[in-house]
Amino acid sequence: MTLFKSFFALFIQFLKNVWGSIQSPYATYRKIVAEDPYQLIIIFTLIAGYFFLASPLKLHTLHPFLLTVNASRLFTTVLCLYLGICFLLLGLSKLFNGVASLRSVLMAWGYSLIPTLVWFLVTLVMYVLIPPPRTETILGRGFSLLYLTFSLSLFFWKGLLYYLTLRFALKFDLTKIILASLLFFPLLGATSYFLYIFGIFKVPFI
Amino acid sequence: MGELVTKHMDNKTLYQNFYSRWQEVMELPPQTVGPLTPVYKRVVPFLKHAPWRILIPIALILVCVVALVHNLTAPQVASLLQRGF
Repeated sequence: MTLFKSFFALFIQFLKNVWGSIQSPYATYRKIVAEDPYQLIIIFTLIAGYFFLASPLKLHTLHPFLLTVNASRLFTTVLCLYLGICFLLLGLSKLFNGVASLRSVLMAWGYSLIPTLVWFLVTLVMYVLIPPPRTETILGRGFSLLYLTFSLSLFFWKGLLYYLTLRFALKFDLTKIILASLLFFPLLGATSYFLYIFGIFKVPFI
Repeated sequence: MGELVTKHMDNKTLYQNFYSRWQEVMELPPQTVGPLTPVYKRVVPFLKHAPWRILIPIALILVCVVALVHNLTAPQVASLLQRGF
């Protein structure tokens, strides 16, 4: 019962933080970096759930073994990417004389995966409900504009959470954020390119 | 007596709030961007509370502008992205 209670409390805290990162991201991120990293379990459970949902559509099969292998492969890639990025951010913090702790970076970057997960989930649902390709009709163009606006809005949200990660977890000022980004984005771009070349992700789950 | 205790507790809470806020500010000095600091101070409040109110219209305007200017049409880009999950 106590375990259930603590999990329920953790889940409520997680929902509050997700809502906070939409409504008041600055205040929420200030708080998140000092919180319990157990909340990451919820985020990664949702990500694993997404990969199990997406695998049948990616592989066009319902074979349980193939689906498990594919979902596990994608999940492991995302987990390694997440840890890699967190250690890269810690390295950048050391490089620019920051005072970041691993816990705060894990929490801040972990919550920045929420916009990514939302985009992938919505795209998956849209793929099932309204499969591509889109047409040049009024309805096709209308949906495309809405979908692109949604995608770009989530991209901005992700950008904002990236900035807040560097600001609150790494405690960087704007100069350091710009310098760190000059190192971070080329590395991220190269990683995304390799993920695409190896056929793991068309759009990187970052 | 009860009133005094409540007052004392209120002061304590006020002090605790002040102290945590003070620590927050001291831990992370306010952001400055040289001569652009006043501009930064005017823009940031829009991002601090409900940033979607500004981000969604900007995204919509950008998408419309790019859809009008660029050779690639919105349905082509949307189809490409829809297969990206």
